[in-house]
Amino acid sequence: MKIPCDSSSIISLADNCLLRILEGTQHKFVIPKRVKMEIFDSPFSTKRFKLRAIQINSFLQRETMEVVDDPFIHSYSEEITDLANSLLSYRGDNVKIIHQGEAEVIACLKLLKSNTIILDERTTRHLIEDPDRMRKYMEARTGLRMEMDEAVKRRIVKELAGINVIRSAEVFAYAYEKGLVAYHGAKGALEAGLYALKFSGCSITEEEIKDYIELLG
Amino acid sequence: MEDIKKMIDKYFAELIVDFENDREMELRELSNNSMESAAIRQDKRMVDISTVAYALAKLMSKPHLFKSDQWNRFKAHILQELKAKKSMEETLKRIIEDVNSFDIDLGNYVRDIIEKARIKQASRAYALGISLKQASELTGANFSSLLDYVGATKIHDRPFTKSKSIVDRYKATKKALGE
Repeated sequence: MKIPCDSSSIISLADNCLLRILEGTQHKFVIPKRVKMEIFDSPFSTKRFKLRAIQINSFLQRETMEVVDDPFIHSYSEEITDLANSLLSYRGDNVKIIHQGEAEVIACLKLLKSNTIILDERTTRHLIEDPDRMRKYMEARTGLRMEMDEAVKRRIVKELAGINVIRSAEVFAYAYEKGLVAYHGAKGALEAGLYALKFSGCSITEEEIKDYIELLG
Repeated sequence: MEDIKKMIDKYFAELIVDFENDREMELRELSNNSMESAAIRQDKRMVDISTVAYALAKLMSKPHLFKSDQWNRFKAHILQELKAKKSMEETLKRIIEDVNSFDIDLGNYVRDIIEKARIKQASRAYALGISLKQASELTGANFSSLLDYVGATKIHDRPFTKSKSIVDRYKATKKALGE
């Protein structure tokens, strides 16, 4: 199966030298051109992230990962971005929730007729899995009452129904259980790996890490 | 629109008064308030006010800068820029350049203060609920640096972050990646 990946997950895995576990899954991972820009072209021009960019690029040369570029990705991601960014409003003004870059991974999934994406970012995950949660989150954080366009919500739910979101944490947990992690069986390895991904930006809570330890540890 | 203009003018006026009176804490508060408004309204002028307020407060918090001979000259120059009857957007852009030069000349860090301010404010925008890439785009913060910064915060432990149980999520993962 071909599985589209967002830059957030590739960066979290690369930061912890875990990209190789993708190879062990026997799947092909796909990124839109813009994601390649985010994980390679742009960091390659910085002193701070150049080494990681080089490491990622060497992984991109392998057969496990493929870059796709198709006019559909641009048009469909624009449609999803427009929909998402008209979902919530405050005092009549729409709140721009997501960026087209995030929607491109969803477009990639539609193009490939896949049903799973790898994505570490919280807001896009909420948009796919539970748009109401996104509103609750934003209202709780800002203290402002947001209006939700119910017709837009219905269109989003219909459009994104059935998409399975996997974070880098899930990929790691799976690889750990299957013995694909080099230090499998080392005491505390599962917990260490999940926390390392969390500290690299994966949107997993401490409570979820504890749940994983209970489930697989 | 009228509301936004009034809000921006108010923030800008606060920026001048707080900086003139060396009010570091108030500048930080202004930076946060302005960023919260910017995240909801996606207004880059508010982002710039937030960035400048944060950077000026940060410079003031460093004794080797605040107590240096150059500080008074720097402060007078910034106030002159802030009070000049020029376009607010251009003024803020010039101040951002001035702060950067001052920090590079006298600072101790490789990562400049404006970049730090952008990352900090982008992380605040993300904490409020907008996506990582949108936060990075809005503030001009480097995406990789932002991800790095967010990972070191408690943002992902806030209520409503979890959207599915681990049992369900892992079951779906195994189904997708292969039993």
